[in-house]
Amino acid sequence: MLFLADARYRAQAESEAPECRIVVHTGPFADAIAEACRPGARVGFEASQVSVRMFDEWRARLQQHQFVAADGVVETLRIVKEAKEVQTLRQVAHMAGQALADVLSHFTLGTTERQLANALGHAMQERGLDGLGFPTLVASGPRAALPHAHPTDKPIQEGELVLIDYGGMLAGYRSDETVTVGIGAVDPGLREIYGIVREAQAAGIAAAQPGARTSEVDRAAREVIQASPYRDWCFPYAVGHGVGLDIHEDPRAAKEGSGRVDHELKPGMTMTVEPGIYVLGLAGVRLEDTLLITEDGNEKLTVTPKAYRAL
Amino acid sequence: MNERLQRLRLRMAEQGLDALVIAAPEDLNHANLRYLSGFTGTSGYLVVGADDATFLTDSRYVEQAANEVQGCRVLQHGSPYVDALADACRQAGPRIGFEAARVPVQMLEQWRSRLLEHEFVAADGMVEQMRAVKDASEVAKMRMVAKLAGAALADAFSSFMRGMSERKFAQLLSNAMLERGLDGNGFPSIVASGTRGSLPHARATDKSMVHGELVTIDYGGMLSGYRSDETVTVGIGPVEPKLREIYELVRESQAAGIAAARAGVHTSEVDRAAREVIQTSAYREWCFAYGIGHGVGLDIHEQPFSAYPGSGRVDTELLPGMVITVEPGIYIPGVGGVRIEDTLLITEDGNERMTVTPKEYRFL
Repeated sequence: MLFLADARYRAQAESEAPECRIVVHTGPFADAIAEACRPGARVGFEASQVSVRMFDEWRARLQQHQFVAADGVVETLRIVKEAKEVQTLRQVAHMAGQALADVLSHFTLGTTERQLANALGHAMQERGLDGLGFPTLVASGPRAALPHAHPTDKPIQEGELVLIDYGGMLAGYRSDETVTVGIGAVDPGLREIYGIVREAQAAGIAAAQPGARTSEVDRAAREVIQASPYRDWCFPYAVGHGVGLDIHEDPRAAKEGSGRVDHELKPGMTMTVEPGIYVLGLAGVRLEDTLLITEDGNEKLTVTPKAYRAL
Repeated sequence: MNERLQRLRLRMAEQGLDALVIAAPEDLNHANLRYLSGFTGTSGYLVVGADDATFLTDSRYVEQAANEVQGCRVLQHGSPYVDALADACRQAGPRIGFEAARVPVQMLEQWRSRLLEHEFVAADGMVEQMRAVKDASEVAKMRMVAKLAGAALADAFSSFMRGMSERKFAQLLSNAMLERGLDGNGFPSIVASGTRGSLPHARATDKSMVHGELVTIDYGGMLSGYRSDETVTVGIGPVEPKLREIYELVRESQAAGIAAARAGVHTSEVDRAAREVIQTSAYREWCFAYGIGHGVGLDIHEQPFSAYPGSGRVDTELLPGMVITVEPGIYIPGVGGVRIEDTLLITEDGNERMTVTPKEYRFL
């Protein structure tokens, strides 16, 4: 196995990829491919990653080689986590959850969404994480009904629900969790929405078993909302996705009729379950945990309790 | 009316293109999309035709796009997006430019399979060339981000304590940038102390910064998508004379590079002015092995990239409104390193320093 690196990264490659022969290339990368693969070889490449320009350079210099699109080969390996990966994923979810608890315990009225997001980023670093798994979403009041609301300078006020979708990163692995919390006394209608989403999420988690398809997890969660008065405001996306070195990876959940590959869950896979109700102009609730699929069900990697809580 | 799209159309006409596709889904670079359309979200496609332009995004971003995007028809694409993209291309005409350095092989195949009569032509760099010269509103933002980031660095220095880890200082600096109102880091900060200073690309580690060391801090902020880029090297307490000597040499080299940077000069001349100072010194062996600098804007590294001997790069002539870094360094394995960097705005008669930290030697 050859690992091609430029001169800056030689020492790092040698220590991090001990099973590979490290080749430092100075000229075009295509020449290094020629060194690794004999003429006439059938060479797979990641067509969804490699740019047209890069590919044209390879083809121009390596006319004896046959290139074949071979996407998803590594992703298929990554979909089932090894014991060591599980350990890291458990750790990052745990530390991120502690950081969230740190921040929520110091919350004061009038803090802006952006300040809360910044404080959470800071707390994750303090807890020893390498950084954010993805940019934190903090959306309060009616803003929580917007599907991708990035934090703004809006102050968080009494009576609102605040949606916080966040994750940490450690050794390249990420966590993904969403909590929705009340600020002070919250209108009973909003509490009702919360209760329905919580029930939907619990149904999704209960369905996430080895042998089940992702569409079954989606359906279990979706049915709860579709049988409620809030069916018009049910989450439009599929209920979850795998998490690992990427924040979104396979198994990406399939919604019935979406035409997506509908993965069968297997022990060692991770999957988020994140249903939501988004009432435009009023409020949004999403609850999300990251699960590890086990031999007999699942283990919650994210640690924040999802019972309703008001700050 | 979108003036940037109008200028792009002139370039498209020169190349005989009926349309230019800018594809920026989640995992590709968004700078060109943002520059041309004003869209700040993280997924969208733009098809610029001779008379009109179509902006496509998914349901999450349609409302935001309708508010932000200038001079384009905004449409929601379904899943897969490619049907809507193909429709937009059909309306524009048969000869379609695309960014071959960005678009993956698989994406182009999807386009081709739906547009069998169309010709796809690699048309890289058209938008990047436009972006190389900043307009007044961009200059104002870039001045602001460099200034706020510099103020944050000063804040972080005032909280510095000997023995602090590189990582801790990097966090302190990030938090100070947020406190100052920036949107975040322009790129992950480099904090390299002691012998680690000889690694031009060292990330911050858990190593403590101790008495007698030099520490190199390469950092930047981000505001409204625009970034700043500055490097300072400071002493932790008094440092040995040899390190001071290296510092002064790099400072002299940087001053020479800055003095050479003005409209009408090529990037290689700025590089040479700075490089000569080090190459005529006792430290010539340890002279920086990269080009003297690069453009900064919506991307942290963008046009014009500096040409240097043996780089084989296009040697861009500097024009008023370009923003470039000047960042020479000396890197001695096992000993340490010094890099000093400012971001400059090229003006008619010279340049304006956008980064604000004084580069006289100082120690904490």
